[in-house]
Amino acid sequence: MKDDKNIDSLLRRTAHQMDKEIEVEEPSLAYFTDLVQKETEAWYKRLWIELALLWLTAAVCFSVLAVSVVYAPLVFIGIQLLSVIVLFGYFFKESSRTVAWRS
Amino acid sequence: MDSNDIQLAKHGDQQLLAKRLKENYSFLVKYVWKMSGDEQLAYDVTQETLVKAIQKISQYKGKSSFSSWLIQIATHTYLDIKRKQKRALTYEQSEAARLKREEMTGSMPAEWYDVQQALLQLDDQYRIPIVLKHYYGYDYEEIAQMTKAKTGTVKSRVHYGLKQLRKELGDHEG
Repeated sequence: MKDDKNIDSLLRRTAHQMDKEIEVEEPSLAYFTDLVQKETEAWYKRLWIELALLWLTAAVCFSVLAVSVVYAPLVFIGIQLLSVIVLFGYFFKESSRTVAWRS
Repeated sequence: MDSNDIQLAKHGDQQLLAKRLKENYSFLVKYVWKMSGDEQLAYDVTQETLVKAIQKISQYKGKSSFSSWLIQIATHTYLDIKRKQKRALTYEQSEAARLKREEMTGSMPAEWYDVQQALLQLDDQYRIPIVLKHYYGYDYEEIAQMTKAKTGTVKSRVHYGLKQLRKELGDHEG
């Protein structure tokens, strides 16, 4: 049992013995035909849903892109204005605190 | 399965595909049963393998035999199920699985019982290549393809697994 040939033949004999011992309950051909039909249908259904979602995502992305191209200057000016307001607010707040300390 | 059959099955001959799956059903159940030592798991994995094979038949290139391709899917399905089970398995459940394995090999003659028991003690990564190599006679490259590992890795796993097996069987004998 120590060398490779022995263990190989022992494993093969075990496999052969197990093949004889194991009794498999095999379903009829109708079961397999039904399974193939159902799974194929389910597969195509899933594929259609995935494709539809993909097209939907693409449409949303294109819409967002189109809107952002048209309104890009407005968005840019809006962000600039917001930054200026925040900066001025911060400046006035800090300067008033500094004056308060001085006094 | 000859190449003409493959083409027909790939192009939607459902009857032919069903026939081929039926022909390989017992072979698949026995493979997973021998690999896992668990009857129920063998049927579950086989069922999932059939579903995957139906869904992926267009991806079958015909480089290996149809049964080898099914074994490849079954091996990956088995490993996935084991990975999921490992996360959820309690001590009681793993003990129950162990007892089930012992029950399966209990009716076998002592020598083969020892071999199967020793084999089931090994980790999946060592047991699967040994089963494929020594039970089914696949070569290292085929096993590497089936288990998505490198040929060298498969060789070393088989070597280490056999070493462990010999040790285990030596302990039984002693």
